[in-house]
Amino acid sequence: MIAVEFSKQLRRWRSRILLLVCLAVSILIAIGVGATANSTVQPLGESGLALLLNRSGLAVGIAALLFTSGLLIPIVFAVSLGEPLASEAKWGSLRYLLVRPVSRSRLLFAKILVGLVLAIATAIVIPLVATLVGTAYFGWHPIATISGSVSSSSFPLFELKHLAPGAVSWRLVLATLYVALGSGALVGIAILVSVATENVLAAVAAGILP
Amino acid sequence: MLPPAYIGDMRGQPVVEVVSLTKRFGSVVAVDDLSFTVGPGQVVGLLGPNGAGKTTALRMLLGLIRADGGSATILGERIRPGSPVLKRVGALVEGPGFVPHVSGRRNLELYWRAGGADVTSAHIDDALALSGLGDAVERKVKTYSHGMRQRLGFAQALLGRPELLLLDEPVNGLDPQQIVEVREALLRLASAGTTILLSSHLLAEVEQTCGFVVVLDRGRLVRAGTVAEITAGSDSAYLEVDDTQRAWELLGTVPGIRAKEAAPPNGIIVHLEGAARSDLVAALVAAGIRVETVMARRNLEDAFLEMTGRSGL
Repeated sequence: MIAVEFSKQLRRWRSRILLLVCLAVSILIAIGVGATANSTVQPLGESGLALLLNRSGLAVGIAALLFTSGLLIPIVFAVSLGEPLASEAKWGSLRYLLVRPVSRSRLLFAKILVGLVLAIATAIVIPLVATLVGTAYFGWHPIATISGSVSSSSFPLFELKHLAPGAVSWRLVLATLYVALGSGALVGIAILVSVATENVLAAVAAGILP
Repeated sequence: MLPPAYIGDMRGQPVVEVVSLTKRFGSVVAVDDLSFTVGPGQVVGLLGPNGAGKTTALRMLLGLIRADGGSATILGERIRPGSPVLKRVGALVEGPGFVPHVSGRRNLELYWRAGGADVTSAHIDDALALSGLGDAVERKVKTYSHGMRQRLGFAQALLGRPELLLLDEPVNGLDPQQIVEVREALLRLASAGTTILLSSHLLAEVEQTCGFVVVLDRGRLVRAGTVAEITAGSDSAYLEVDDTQRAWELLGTVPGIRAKEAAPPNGIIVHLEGAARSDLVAALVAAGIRVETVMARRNLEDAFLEMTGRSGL
């Protein structure tokens, strides 16, 4: 059942377009960060400041994750998990899955598992590609962080700490998984709606709106 | 609780046994205390007007919806969602349904593998040969016409050479040539021992395909029996003669006849209005026309309208 579901989803243009959009967004972010870092204009905001302190490909990956965690990654999860059941109900093919000698729970498990795997894989593409493009641009350097200790009692001076690329890589992977799981928790609602409707848009929207 | 309506000569374990099956949707009783059985190798037509409860009954038989009362068993196993016995059942219910972005053949493979079975046990080429879809099976389903989707749905129902076929309006949307092909395929399957329960509102189709009929109206069983039992009546006669042309002309002169229908190749159905069947035989024989067969007959439509009191479907 899981192999069948993978086969169905991987053949869909929706899955491919979603992946291409994530690829394009991550490349655009990398280009944007690179252009900003070279300009004299100082970007506002904590993340912008932090990025200017770092001329490392890993910083671009972090920036991509930060920029997409609010909307794009939740959309990826809502589409990957909320859409398959509602679509199959609309096409009528779900009816024929239900007359197979397979329990409802196994069917639902396969749909959720495949949706989760594809959504996480697509979400990982964003920081991964941004890091690769960023590394090509800035190189593979340690990251300076301003989250160090306060070194003065009269002025809040932050001590810069440098994290090795390997250590940052693990943190980036964990951060990506954290964002993915957070989005996954929300789209549980999308799955709930998708089993009750044939309206694909309603199922996807239910995963994003919370 | 009503006993199931046994149809025909029931030998061995019933393939389908429905006992006091009931389904309500709010205040509407879609299926009301329905009981009938289908024996091995029988081709049974579930007949009724729109809203009679045919599709709802089939959905309960497939475990797609839960019955509010009664029970449905297939091959001795009580049906629940995902029952193991469903691997021995082929179904076409509420129209075909396919993943549009893959080919017809790929759809069949995915459907079969979803049940946990190896694709070689599906006998896909046999099913496709019976459905007559041809090379179109390699095209994406989104390019199919309604008739092609219906044929693919029929092929899907035939996968794995099922012992029981549950078909909901199987010729719906097909052109006359396709209807004939599906009918012939069903008759071939029946002759090979497949049990078939099909629903239809096309009375002539049921009459030509099924040996047995279960008539539903407003969710209730109206009558069950062989087509011959259902259509038997005193208001018409079926005659087989050696010269249909002369017999047709002669019968036009016999009083007490309301209408005539040709029943090729050498039969005539006569709707009586006062005349006795013996009068017809006497007139034909007197004119030198040999009468091979004479039997009381109504068509299924007449019988159905009489049973349900409807003016049409």
